[in-house]
Amino acid sequence: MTCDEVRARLDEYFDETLADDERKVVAIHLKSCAGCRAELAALEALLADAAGLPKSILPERDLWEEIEQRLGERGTGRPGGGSNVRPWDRGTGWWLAAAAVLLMALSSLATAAWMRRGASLAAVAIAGPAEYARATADLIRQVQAEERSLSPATLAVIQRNLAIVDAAIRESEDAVARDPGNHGLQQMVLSCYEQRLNLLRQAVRAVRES
Amino acid sequence: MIDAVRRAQGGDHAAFHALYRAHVGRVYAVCLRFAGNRPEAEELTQNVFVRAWEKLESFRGESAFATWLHRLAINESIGARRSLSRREQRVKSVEDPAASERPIQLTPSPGDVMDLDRAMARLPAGARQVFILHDIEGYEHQEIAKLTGVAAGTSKAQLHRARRLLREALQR
Repeated sequence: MTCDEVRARLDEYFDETLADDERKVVAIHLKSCAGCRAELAALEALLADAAGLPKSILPERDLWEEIEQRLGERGTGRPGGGSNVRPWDRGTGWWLAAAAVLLMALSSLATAAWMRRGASLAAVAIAGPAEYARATADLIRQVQAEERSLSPATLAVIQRNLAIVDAAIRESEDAVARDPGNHGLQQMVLSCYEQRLNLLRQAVRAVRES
Repeated sequence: MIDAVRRAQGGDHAAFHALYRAHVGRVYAVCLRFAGNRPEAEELTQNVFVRAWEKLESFRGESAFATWLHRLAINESIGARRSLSRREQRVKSVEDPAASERPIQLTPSPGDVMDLDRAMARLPAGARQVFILHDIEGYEHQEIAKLTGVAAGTSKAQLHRARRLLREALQR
Protein backbone atom coordinates (compact mmCIF):
# COMPACT_ATOMS: atom_id res chain seq x y z
CA MET A 1 0.00 0.00 0.00
CA THR A 2 1.35 3.47 -0.91
CA CYS A 3 1.46 6.41 1.49
CA ASP A 4 -1.47 8.04 -0.34
CA GLU A 5 -3.52 4.87 0.02
CA VAL A 6 -2.67 4.60 3.69
CA ARG A 7 -3.48 8.27 4.38
CA ALA A 8 -6.83 7.88 2.65
CA ARG A 9 -7.62 5.19 5.20
CA LEU A 10 -6.32 6.87 8.37
CA ASP A 11 -9.76 8.15 9.41
CA GLU A 12 -11.21 4.66 9.35
CA TYR A 13 -8.06 3.23 10.91
CA PHE A 14 -8.37 5.67 13.81
CA ASP A 15 -12.13 5.09 14.12
CA GLU A 16 -11.51 1.30 14.07
CA THR A 17 -13.97 0.85 11.23
CA LEU A 18 -11.44 -0.47 8.71
CA ALA A 19 -11.80 -4.09 7.58
CA ASP A 20 -9.37 -6.42 9.38
CA ASP A 21 -7.21 -7.23 6.37
CA GLU A 22 -6.77 -3.55 5.45
CA ARG A 23 -6.19 -2.63 9.05
CA LYS A 24 -3.26 -5.07 9.24
CA VAL A 25 -1.71 -3.67 6.05
CA VAL A 26 -2.04 -0.08 7.32
CA ALA A 27 -0.55 -1.04 10.70
CA ILE A 28 2.45 -2.64 9.02
CA HIS A 29 2.95 0.43 6.81
CA LEU A 30 2.78 2.75 9.82
CA LYS A 31 5.56 0.88 11.58
CA SER A 32 7.95 1.63 8.77
CA CYS A 33 6.77 5.09 7.61
CA ALA A 34 7.49 8.12 9.78
CA GLY A 35 5.51 10.43 7.47
CA CYS A 36 2.29 8.45 7.80
CA ARG A 37 2.82 8.09 11.56
CA ALA A 38 3.05 11.87 11.76
CA GLU A 39 -0.22 12.13 9.82
CA LEU A 40 -1.87 9.77 12.28
CA ALA A 41 -0.46 11.71 15.24
CA ALA A 42 -1.86 14.96 13.80
CA LEU A 43 -5.26 13.34 13.45
CA GLU A 44 -5.10 12.08 17.03
CA ALA A 45 -4.15 15.55 18.25
CA LEU A 46 -7.08 17.14 16.41
CA LEU A 47 -9.55 14.68 17.89
CA ALA A 48 -8.08 15.08 21.37
CA ASP A 49 -8.67 18.83 21.00
CA ALA A 50 -12.23 18.16 19.86
CA ALA A 51 -12.86 15.96 22.88
CA GLY A 52 -11.52 18.70 25.14
CA LEU A 53 -13.71 21.54 23.84
CA PRO A 54 -15.75 23.26 26.56
CA LYS A 55 -19.13 21.64 27.13
CA SER A 56 -20.66 24.88 28.28
CA ILE A 57 -20.44 28.37 26.76
CA LEU A 58 -22.61 31.16 28.09
CA PRO A 59 -24.24 33.44 25.51
CA GLU A 60 -22.99 37.01 25.59
CA ARG A 61 -26.45 38.31 26.46
CA ASP A 62 -29.34 36.95 28.47
CA LEU A 63 -31.83 35.27 26.17
CA TRP A 64 -34.45 34.58 28.82
CA GLU A 65 -36.59 37.67 28.22
CA GLU A 66 -37.21 36.75 24.59
CA ILE A 67 -37.79 33.12 25.49
CA GLU A 68 -40.32 34.01 28.17
CA GLN A 69 -42.09 36.31 25.78
CA ARG A 70 -42.41 33.45 23.35
CA LEU A 71 -43.80 31.19 26.01
CA GLY A 72 -46.71 33.53 25.69
CA GLU A 73 -48.07 33.76 29.23
CA ARG A 74 -47.46 35.85 32.29
CA GLY A 75 -46.47 33.12 34.73
CA THR A 76 -49.42 30.82 34.14
CA GLY A 77 -50.31 27.95 31.86
CA ARG A 78 -48.89 24.48 31.50
CA PRO A 79 -46.17 23.38 29.08
CA GLY A 80 -47.60 21.86 25.96
CA GLY A 81 -51.07 23.18 26.71
CA GLY A 82 -52.95 24.98 23.99
CA SER A 83 -53.42 28.12 26.01
CA ASN A 84 -49.86 29.00 26.93
CA VAL A 85 -48.32 29.14 23.47
CA ARG A 86 -50.51 31.33 21.37
CA PRO A 87 -50.89 30.93 17.64
CA TRP A 88 -48.98 34.12 16.99
CA ASP A 89 -45.99 32.86 18.98
CA ARG A 90 -45.45 29.87 16.77
CA GLY A 91 -41.84 29.37 15.69
CA THR A 92 -41.27 28.75 12.00
CA GLY A 93 -38.56 28.00 9.48
CA TRP A 94 -35.94 30.71 9.37
CA TRP A 95 -35.74 31.28 5.69
CA LEU A 96 -39.47 31.44 5.28
CA ALA A 97 -39.71 33.76 8.22
CA ALA A 98 -37.01 35.91 6.72
CA ALA A 99 -38.89 35.98 3.45
CA ALA A 100 -41.93 37.20 5.30
CA VAL A 101 -39.93 40.06 6.80
CA LEU A 102 -38.91 41.16 3.37
CA LEU A 103 -42.51 41.03 2.27
CA MET A 104 -43.40 43.28 5.14
CA ALA A 105 -40.86 45.80 3.95
CA LEU A 106 -41.90 45.71 0.32
CA SER A 107 -45.19 46.83 -1.06
CA SER A 108 -47.17 44.07 -2.69
CA LEU A 109 -46.54 45.73 -6.02
CA ALA A 110 -42.79 45.75 -5.53
CA THR A 111 -42.91 42.15 -4.42
CA ALA A 112 -44.85 41.14 -7.48
CA ALA A 113 -42.36 42.94 -9.68
CA TRP A 114 -39.50 41.22 -7.92
CA MET A 115 -41.10 37.85 -8.44
CA ARG A 116 -41.74 38.59 -12.11
CA ARG A 117 -38.02 39.21 -12.56
CA GLY A 118 -37.58 35.55 -11.73
CA ALA A 119 -35.91 35.62 -8.32
CA SER A 120 -36.66 32.53 -6.30
CA LEU A 121 -38.33 32.69 -2.95
CA ALA A 122 -35.10 31.80 -1.22
CA ALA A 123 -33.17 34.38 -3.19
CA VAL A 124 -35.32 37.14 -1.74
CA ALA A 125 -35.15 35.67 1.75
CA ILE A 126 -32.29 37.84 2.80
CA ALA A 127 -33.45 39.33 6.06
CA GLY A 128 -32.38 37.55 9.25
CA PRO A 129 -34.54 35.60 11.67
CA ALA A 130 -33.80 38.11 14.41
CA GLU A 131 -35.35 40.87 12.29
CA TYR A 132 -38.41 38.74 11.74
CA ALA A 133 -38.65 37.98 15.45
CA ARG A 134 -38.42 41.67 16.29
CA ALA A 135 -41.00 42.70 13.72
CA THR A 136 -43.41 39.97 14.75
CA ALA A 137 -42.79 40.60 18.44
CA ASP A 138 -43.77 44.27 17.96
CA LEU A 139 -47.14 43.27 16.55
CA ILE A 140 -47.64 40.65 19.26
CA ARG A 141 -46.73 43.10 21.99
CA GLN A 142 -49.30 45.56 20.67
CA VAL A 143 -51.98 42.88 20.74
CA GLN A 144 -51.04 41.50 24.13
CA ALA A 145 -50.79 44.92 25.76
CA GLU A 146 -54.45 45.60 25.08
CA GLU A 147 -55.73 42.08 24.80
CA ARG A 148 -58.04 42.43 27.81
CA SER A 149 -60.00 45.11 25.98
CA LEU A 150 -60.96 42.61 23.29
CA SER A 151 -64.16 40.68 23.68
CA PRO A 152 -63.66 36.93 24.13
CA ALA A 153 -65.48 36.38 20.85
CA THR A 154 -63.12 38.70 18.94
CA LEU A 155 -60.08 37.11 20.57
CA ALA A 156 -61.40 33.67 19.66
CA VAL A 157 -61.87 34.74 16.02
CA ILE A 158 -58.31 36.07 15.83
CA GLN A 159 -56.85 32.93 17.40
CA ARG A 160 -58.96 30.65 15.21
CA ASN A 161 -57.87 32.44 12.04
CA LEU A 162 -54.22 32.36 13.05
CA ALA A 163 -54.52 28.65 13.75
CA ILE A 164 -55.97 28.15 10.26
CA VAL A 165 -53.13 30.10 8.64
CA ASP A 166 -50.56 28.24 10.75
CA ALA A 167 -52.02 24.94 9.57
CA ALA A 168 -51.81 26.18 5.97
CA ILE A 169 -48.18 27.21 6.55
CA ARG A 170 -47.33 23.78 7.93
CA GLU A 171 -48.99 22.05 4.99
CA SER A 172 -47.34 24.23 2.37
CA GLU A 173 -43.93 23.97 4.09
CA ASP A 174 -44.25 20.20 4.00
CA ALA A 175 -45.19 20.37 0.33
CA VAL A 176 -42.11 22.52 -0.43
CA ALA A 177 -39.94 20.09 1.51
CA ARG A 178 -41.19 17.27 -0.72
CA ASP A 179 -40.86 19.32 -3.90
CA PRO A 180 -38.25 21.99 -3.22
CA GLY A 181 -37.94 23.18 -6.80
CA ASN A 182 -41.63 23.97 -7.24
CA HIS A 183 -41.91 27.74 -7.62
CA GLY A 184 -45.71 27.70 -7.35
CA LEU A 185 -45.50 25.98 -3.97
CA GLN A 186 -42.90 28.46 -2.80
CA GLN A 187 -45.22 31.31 -3.69
CA MET A 188 -48.02 29.54 -1.86
CA VAL A 189 -45.88 29.48 1.28
CA LEU A 190 -45.11 33.17 0.87
CA SER A 191 -48.78 33.87 0.46
CA CYS A 192 -49.54 32.01 3.70
CA TYR A 193 -46.92 34.00 5.56
CA GLU A 194 -48.25 37.23 4.14
CA GLN A 195 -51.71 36.25 5.37
CA ARG A 196 -50.28 35.54 8.82
CA LEU A 197 -48.71 38.96 8.97
CA ASN A 198 -51.89 40.59 7.72
CA LEU A 199 -53.84 38.79 10.42
CA LEU A 200 -51.46 40.11 13.05
CA ARG A 201 -51.85 43.61 11.67
CA GLN A 202 -55.64 43.22 11.69
CA ALA A 203 -55.44 42.00 15.29
CA VAL A 204 -53.56 45.19 16.16
CA ARG A 205 -56.25 47.26 14.43
CA ALA A 206 -58.97 45.35 16.28
CA VAL A 207 -57.27 46.10 19.56
CA ARG A 208 -57.00 49.82 18.75
CA GLU A 209 -60.65 50.04 17.73
CA SER A 210 -61.97 48.13 20.75
CA MET B 1 -33.30 19.90 39.67
CA ILE B 2 -35.94 17.17 39.47
CA ASP B 3 -38.16 19.37 41.58
CA ALA B 4 -37.64 22.27 39.17
CA VAL B 5 -38.61 20.03 36.25
CA ARG B 6 -41.79 18.91 38.03
CA ARG B 7 -42.73 22.49 38.90
CA ALA B 8 -42.02 23.61 35.33
CA GLN B 9 -44.19 20.77 34.05
CA GLY B 10 -46.94 22.25 36.19
CA GLY B 11 -46.59 25.59 34.40
CA ASP B 12 -44.21 27.37 36.77
CA HIS B 13 -42.23 29.88 34.68
CA ALA B 14 -39.87 30.63 37.58
CA ALA B 15 -38.93 26.95 37.75
CA PHE B 16 -38.41 26.88 33.99
CA HIS B 17 -36.24 29.99 34.32
CA ALA B 18 -34.13 28.10 36.87
CA LEU B 19 -33.78 25.25 34.38
CA TYR B 20 -32.80 27.77 31.71
CA ARG B 21 -30.10 29.25 33.94
CA ALA B 22 -28.75 25.82 34.81
CA HIS B 23 -28.61 24.54 31.23
CA VAL B 24 -28.27 27.52 28.89
CA GLY B 25 -24.48 27.17 28.71
CA ARG B 26 -24.59 23.60 27.48
CA VAL B 27 -27.41 24.30 25.04
CA TYR B 28 -25.72 27.42 23.67
CA ALA B 29 -22.42 25.55 23.22
CA VAL B 30 -24.17 22.98 21.03
CA CYS B 31 -26.06 25.63 19.07
CA LEU B 32 -23.00 27.83 18.59
CA ARG B 33 -20.98 24.97 17.16
CA PHE B 34 -23.73 23.91 14.77
CA ALA B 35 -24.58 27.46 13.68
CA GLY B 36 -21.02 28.75 13.51
CA ASN B 37 -22.10 32.29 14.41
CA ARG B 38 -23.55 34.10 17.41
CA PRO B 39 -26.86 35.51 16.08
CA GLU B 40 -28.02 32.15 14.74
CA ALA B 41 -26.81 30.39 17.88
CA GLU B 42 -28.87 32.76 20.02
CA GLU B 43 -31.93 32.21 17.85
CA LEU B 44 -31.41 28.44 17.98
CA THR B 45 -30.99 28.51 21.76
CA GLN B 46 -34.26 30.37 22.13
CA ASN B 47 -35.97 27.85 19.87
CA VAL B 48 -34.60 24.97 21.95
CA PHE B 49 -36.00 26.35 25.19
CA VAL B 50 -39.35 27.21 23.63
CA ARG B 51 -39.50 23.69 22.20
CA ALA B 52 -38.46 22.26 25.57
CA TRP B 53 -41.34 24.12 27.23
CA GLU B 54 -43.76 22.80 24.63
CA LYS B 55 -42.52 19.24 25.05
CA LEU B 56 -41.88 19.29 28.77
CA GLU B 57 -44.93 17.18 29.51
CA SER B 58 -43.43 14.37 27.43
CA PHE B 59 -40.28 14.30 29.63
CA ARG B 60 -40.75 11.25 31.81
CA GLY B 61 -37.39 11.24 33.55
CA GLU B 62 -36.05 8.08 31.86
CA SER B 63 -32.90 10.08 31.12
CA ALA B 64 -31.41 13.04 32.93
CA PHE B 65 -33.07 16.34 32.05
CA ALA B 66 -29.68 17.61 30.79
CA THR B 67 -29.45 14.66 28.39
CA TRP B 68 -33.01 15.19 27.18
CA LEU B 69 -32.35 18.89 26.59
CA HIS B 70 -29.01 18.21 24.91
CA ARG B 71 -30.71 15.86 22.46
CA LEU B 72 -33.37 18.49 21.81
CA ALA B 73 -30.64 21.05 21.08
CA ILE B 74 -29.01 18.70 18.58
CA ASN B 75 -32.31 17.93 16.85
CA GLU B 76 -33.23 21.61 16.68
CA SER B 77 -29.79 22.45 15.24
CA ILE B 78 -30.05 19.73 12.62
CA GLY B 79 -33.56 20.87 11.69
CA ALA B 80 -32.39 24.44 11.27
CA ARG B 81 -29.47 23.27 9.15
CA ARG B 82 -31.84 21.29 6.93
CA SER B 83 -34.01 24.37 6.33
CA LEU B 84 -30.95 26.48 5.62
CA SER B 85 -29.62 23.87 3.24
CA ARG B 86 -32.83 23.97 1.20
CA ARG B 87 -32.54 27.76 1.08
CA GLU B 88 -28.92 27.64 -0.02
CA GLN B 89 -29.69 25.17 -2.77
CA ARG B 90 -32.30 27.49 -4.19
CA VAL B 91 -30.11 30.58 -3.89
CA LYS B 92 -27.20 28.83 -5.58
CA SER B 93 -29.40 27.54 -8.37
CA VAL B 94 -30.71 31.04 -9.05
CA GLU B 95 -27.74 33.23 -8.33
CA ASP B 96 -24.57 31.23 -8.67
CA PRO B 97 -24.76 27.63 -9.85
CA ALA B 98 -20.98 27.20 -9.49
CA ALA B 99 -20.86 28.31 -5.85
CA SER B 100 -20.90 24.78 -4.44
CA GLU B 101 -17.95 23.79 -6.63
CA ARG B 102 -15.56 26.41 -5.31
CA PRO B 103 -12.74 25.08 -3.15
CA ILE B 104 -12.99 25.90 0.55
CA GLN B 105 -10.08 27.91 1.93
CA LEU B 106 -9.69 27.62 5.68
CA THR B 107 -6.01 28.39 6.03
CA PRO B 108 -5.54 31.39 8.32
CA SER B 109 -3.74 34.53 7.25
CA PRO B 110 -0.16 34.92 8.47
CA GLY B 111 -0.18 35.82 12.16
CA ASP B 112 -3.77 34.68 12.59
CA VAL B 113 -3.95 32.17 15.42
CA MET B 114 -6.79 29.80 14.70
CA ASP B 115 -8.39 27.77 17.48
CA LEU B 116 -10.54 24.73 16.88
CA ASP B 117 -13.89 26.43 17.49
CA ARG B 118 -13.05 29.21 15.04
CA ALA B 119 -11.78 26.74 12.47
CA MET B 120 -14.96 24.70 12.85
CA ALA B 121 -17.08 27.80 12.30
CA ARG B 122 -15.40 28.24 8.91
CA LEU B 123 -16.15 24.70 7.75
CA PRO B 124 -18.85 24.12 5.15
CA ALA B 125 -22.04 23.56 7.14
CA GLY B 126 -22.50 19.92 6.13
CA ALA B 127 -18.95 18.97 7.08
CA ARG B 128 -19.21 20.93 10.31
CA GLN B 129 -22.42 19.16 11.25
CA VAL B 130 -20.95 15.70 10.72
CA PHE B 131 -17.72 16.59 12.56
CA ILE B 132 -19.73 17.81 15.57
CA LEU B 133 -22.01 14.80 15.60
CA HIS B 134 -19.24 12.23 15.14
CA ASP B 135 -16.15 13.65 16.80
CA ILE B 136 -17.69 15.78 19.54
CA GLU B 137 -21.07 14.19 20.26
CA GLY B 138 -19.96 10.62 19.58
CA TYR B 139 -22.61 9.51 17.07
CA GLU B 140 -21.90 6.68 14.60
CA HIS B 141 -22.32 7.27 10.87
CA GLN B 142 -25.52 5.20 10.75
CA GLU B 143 -27.02 7.33 13.52
CA ILE B 144 -25.92 10.52 11.76
CA ALA B 145 -27.54 9.25 8.58
CA LYS B 146 -30.80 8.69 10.42
CA LEU B 147 -30.65 12.06 12.16
CA THR B 148 -29.69 14.18 9.17
CA GLY B 149 -31.19 12.30 6.25
CA VAL B 150 -27.89 11.86 4.40
CA ALA B 151 -26.43 8.48 3.44
CA ALA B 152 -23.90 6.94 5.82
CA GLY B 153 -21.33 7.09 3.00
CA THR B 154 -21.93 10.81 2.63
CA SER B 155 -21.45 11.22 6.36
CA LYS B 156 -18.09 9.43 6.15
CA ALA B 157 -16.99 11.60 3.23
CA GLN B 158 -18.05 14.78 5.05
CA LEU B 159 -16.13 13.71 8.15
CA HIS B 160 -13.01 13.01 6.11
CA ARG B 161 -13.32 16.43 4.49
CA ALA B 162 -13.92 18.18 7.80
CA ARG B 163 -10.90 16.58 9.48
CA ARG B 164 -8.67 17.40 6.52
CA LEU B 165 -9.82 21.02 6.38
CA LEU B 166 -9.44 21.44 10.14
CA ARG B 167 -5.93 20.05 10.12
CA GLU B 168 -5.03 22.41 7.29
CA ALA B 169 -6.58 25.34 9.15
CA LEU B 170 -4.78 24.47 12.36
CA GLN B 171 -1.63 23.75 10.35
CA ARG B 172 -1.23 20.23 11.68
